[in-house]
Amino acid sequence: MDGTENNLRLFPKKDARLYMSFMYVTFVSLLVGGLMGLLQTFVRSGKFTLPFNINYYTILTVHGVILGLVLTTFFIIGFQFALMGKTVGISDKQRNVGWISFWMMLVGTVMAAVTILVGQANVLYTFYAPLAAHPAFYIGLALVIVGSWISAFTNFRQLYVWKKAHKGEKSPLLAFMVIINMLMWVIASLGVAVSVVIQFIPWSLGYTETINVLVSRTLFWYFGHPLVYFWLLPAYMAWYAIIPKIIGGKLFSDSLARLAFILLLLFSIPVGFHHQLTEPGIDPTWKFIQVVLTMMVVVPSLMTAFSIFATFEITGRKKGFSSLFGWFKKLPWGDVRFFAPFVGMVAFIPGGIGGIINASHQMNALVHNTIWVTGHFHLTVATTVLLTYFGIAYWLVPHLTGRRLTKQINKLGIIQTIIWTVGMTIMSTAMHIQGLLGGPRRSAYSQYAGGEQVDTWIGYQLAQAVGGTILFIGILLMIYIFIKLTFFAPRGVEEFPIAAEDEDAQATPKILENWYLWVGITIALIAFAYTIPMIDIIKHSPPGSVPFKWPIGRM
Amino acid sequence: MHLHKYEKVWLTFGMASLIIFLLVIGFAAFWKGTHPQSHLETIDQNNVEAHDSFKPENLGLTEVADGKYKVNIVASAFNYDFGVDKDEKPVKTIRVPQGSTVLFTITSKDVVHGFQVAGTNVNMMVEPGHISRYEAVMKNKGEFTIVCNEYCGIGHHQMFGKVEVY
Amino acid sequence: MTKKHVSNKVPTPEVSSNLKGTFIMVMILGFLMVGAWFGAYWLFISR
Repeated sequence: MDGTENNLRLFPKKDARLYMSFMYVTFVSLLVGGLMGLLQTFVRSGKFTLPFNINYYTILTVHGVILGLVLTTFFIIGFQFALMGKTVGISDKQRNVGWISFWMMLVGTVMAAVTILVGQANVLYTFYAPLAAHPAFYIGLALVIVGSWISAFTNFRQLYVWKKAHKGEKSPLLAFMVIINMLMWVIASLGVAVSVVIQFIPWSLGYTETINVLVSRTLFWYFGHPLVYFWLLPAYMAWYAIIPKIIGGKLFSDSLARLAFILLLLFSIPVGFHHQLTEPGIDPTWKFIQVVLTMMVVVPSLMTAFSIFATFEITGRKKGFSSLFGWFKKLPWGDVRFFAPFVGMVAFIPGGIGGIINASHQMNALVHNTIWVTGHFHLTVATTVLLTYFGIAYWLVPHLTGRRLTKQINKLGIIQTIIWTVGMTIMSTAMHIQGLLGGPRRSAYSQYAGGEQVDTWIGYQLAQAVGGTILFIGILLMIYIFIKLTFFAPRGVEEFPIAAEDEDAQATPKILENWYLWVGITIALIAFAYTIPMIDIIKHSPPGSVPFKWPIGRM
Repeated sequence: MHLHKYEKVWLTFGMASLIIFLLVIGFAAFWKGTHPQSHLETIDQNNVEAHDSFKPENLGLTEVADGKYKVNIVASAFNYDFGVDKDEKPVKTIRVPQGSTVLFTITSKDVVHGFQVAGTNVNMMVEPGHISRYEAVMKNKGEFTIVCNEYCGIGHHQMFGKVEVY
Repeated sequence: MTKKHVSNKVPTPEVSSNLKGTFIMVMILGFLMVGAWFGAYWLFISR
């Protein structure tokens, strides 16, 4: 099968419709969640109060759940289905199962969203016990998770069927990456699923009286860190296997890309304690062990950095630019499919470095739960990941709708990216500095006990409102672009840009596709990092906590 | 699977940096004892007064030795209980001299809270059933806001106090 | 034991390609990482 020809062949309508449904939910979420973010920065500026008695923490919960859990999950699953469809194909039966997954997730999302909007779940997206939301919130979340598993197993099945038909061949790189991401997702979300189904749902319904708070938090963060890698890996897929095609080059190294993904699978999960570094009840030695494992998960990102620069340089040099940085100037800066993800890559430099600081054991006290953390993940997920997703959407949406990314829309995309860069630079920088000065995250406007320190914080909160406003303009423009690409752009064939391997590239070692081995090591690492501390936590449990409804405004 | 020689240098440099970071914080944590707050003691959150530190008369600031203080606090939505002053009014500000060593001990009666003396390294989670404890030297003069930095409900941002280092 | 390894090595385009620019870029990134980390550590120590 010729790669380039396949890149230009549109999906059958039936398939495209499934993948597109996920994109609709993604962009509706962007608008709703983005509006909430705008309102938050307004409230925190101290110049604005919410109308109709709307609670700050209601919109904060909507923002976190809709953008952190819904937008990301829907985009990822839709994109990954498209990648699987393109590389290994989808059968009628698999597509139907895909639809079941979609509807289950959508019903769960709507359930959770309505519960939040009517003020029955002001618990933020981390829903820490013993704050008790209405059971419908937890049931909605459970449906989203189980729905996503159905997609994961469909993807596993797709590759299995392809492998049977292509004995002895290595799986297509992008399909391999999708499977890694879904394996990680299933293994990690088991933790939160256990917590929601066994702890939260019976407790919120009144079937059990109390909940073990520390166990629920530990299960949440067992899931919470791989969650951020679940967002990041699709961006890495684009960086490794799609961007090279867009800039007119080839894969840097098929095997190194696979190796990086395997390392991400191994080390993304046994690291949840680095979110719990300042918590009581967890032995600091075990915290430190997970800090060490956290540093290991940096390594595949170091590899990724090298491989991206190398792809740029090799491509440029093949085109004949021999000076030291000549290749850099000649990158396709005017092509939004490249430019948006590129800005995302740049944002990952401070984003990644900030992450290393956050995870550095006792040093975490410097930034824990300050707005520095919010600034950090607005660089990583809301810039690196999101701009790469936008970069994908610019070609994926027209490929699915049978339209073209015109010059004019491309230009709008470039403007969108610049708006985003400016807005986020202002907002995230202000958040980082305010955080280092001790300003807390997740708090409505407050003057606390007054004084100079608080005044300084409020100054930075004003800057965040300016940044937030610019970002919201960026969101409106992105929604406009999405609508254009979906309904109004001229008909045609937009390429699905998958990079090919160099003809004389080295063979990929077979061991990289030994799933039993890698899943086995993943589970062994998790068992090592969690068994003893988890037994400790359970053995030294205090009395459980009853549900607390009034602090979140429930009667 | 081949690594370019520059990639080998780069990965060696990167991994060496990470190892140095770990050695620095590991040495500080295990030899100097500056682990993040990880107190292991549990308590019945429904009866915190049974614990000596949280009896009403033991709340707030106490000087235990020259330049050494302890501060006991009970957190609840949406208040820090630092005890009462001579006029039976609730204490909201803790005053200690520069350079003093202060041991903060805190627990929660209801939901999860945070306790951060903003601008210092005192930053801990406070959870029902657990006691959090952190000792810090107040190196710098100034007014430091105490904030609840873990969401605890709709009045979360109204939960605060102050430390004055003079 | 040593001879066998040598004979397996085949020069490939990956190895021979000129990646000087890449190397300089990643090393800049590396120094940023080390600098920022020690900056934060210094702040932690001084508080």
